[in-house]
Amino acid sequence: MTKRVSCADVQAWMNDFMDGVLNADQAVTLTEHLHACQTCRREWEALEATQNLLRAARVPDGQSSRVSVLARFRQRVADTTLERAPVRRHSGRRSVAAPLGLATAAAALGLAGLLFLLQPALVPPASPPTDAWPSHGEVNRLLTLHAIHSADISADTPELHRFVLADASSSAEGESEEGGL
Amino acid sequence: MKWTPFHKSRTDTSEHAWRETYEAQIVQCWEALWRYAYRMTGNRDDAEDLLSEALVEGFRSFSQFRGDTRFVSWMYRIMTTTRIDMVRRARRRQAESLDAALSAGSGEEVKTREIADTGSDPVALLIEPMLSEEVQDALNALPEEFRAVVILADIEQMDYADVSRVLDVPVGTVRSRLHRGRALLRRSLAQYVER
Repeated sequence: MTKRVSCADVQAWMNDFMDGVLNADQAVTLTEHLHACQTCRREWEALEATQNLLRAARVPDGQSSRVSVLARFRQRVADTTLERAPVRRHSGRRSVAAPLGLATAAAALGLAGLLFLLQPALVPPASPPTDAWPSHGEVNRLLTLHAIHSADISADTPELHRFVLADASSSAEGESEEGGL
Repeated sequence: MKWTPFHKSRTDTSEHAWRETYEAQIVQCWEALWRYAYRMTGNRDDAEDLLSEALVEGFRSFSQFRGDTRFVSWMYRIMTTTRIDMVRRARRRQAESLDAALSAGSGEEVKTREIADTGSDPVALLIEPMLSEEVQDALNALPEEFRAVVILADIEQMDYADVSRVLDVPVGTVRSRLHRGRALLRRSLAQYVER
């Protein structure tokens, strides 16, 4: 006996029937309905024709594209392989040279800072503070030398030159003896 | 683009061997890959772009291919995700350059379409000159997700489970997308399929 089924149900089953996943009971009901119902039969035929059209329509030949696509693929692989080395060096195996250099620079800076801070204790002053000023005799000698040069007493008059210097020296010695008393 | 090593634990020599093996697999299923690429994109240039990109992506993951599915199905999956990424990138670019394109008065780039090689198949000789373009136009008009399901299920004749694995969506989703895709195609090709 033929089961009664609506057109909506049959049309809902058509896709599953086309894909072979409709159970046998429903499949029999559907085929019987298609014999009896012209509307559903036309719908089924249109669905089948659409699928046949899809399968029959061909694409242009792809063999020429195969050559160019594979060439592009090889080039991409080669390019990326070349790029890999520097990237890996940064991310994976790090060189020891860079950290060692940084550590050396940091140590040098630290040592320089320490020396700067300890400088007053390690380095003696250039002259004792007590002798910071020259004696009167020394001042006289320097003033005399200045006078010699100002008076244009040059190498042409060596005797006078020696005399003036001896006089200045003796006056400085006398001054120091007086200071020592 | 961020670098991902092709085969982390391989030396350069064995990487060469891996590439040759991979290429051999590609060549074996080239016709199927080409059909899928062409059907998804609708023209030769975009099909070549898709395949070039997908081949690189596939090679990156080739060492993870376990052989528990057919190589061609594995490649379909990579091509589908690559295609979706490419379309998204293109849409972003299109949105960014929309103002510039409008001010320059230039429309969308027109891709050339070729007449399919019908070979010596008499049925194809009759159907191709008329309908190849219309069929491709109808496919192009489908949403990307529907198109992938229709191509894999109806043209490549894969079952729901295989399509589900390829597209990484549940079987129920495959089924509903296929039915809706067919309904849209049937409507857009109505003049050729209704008596």
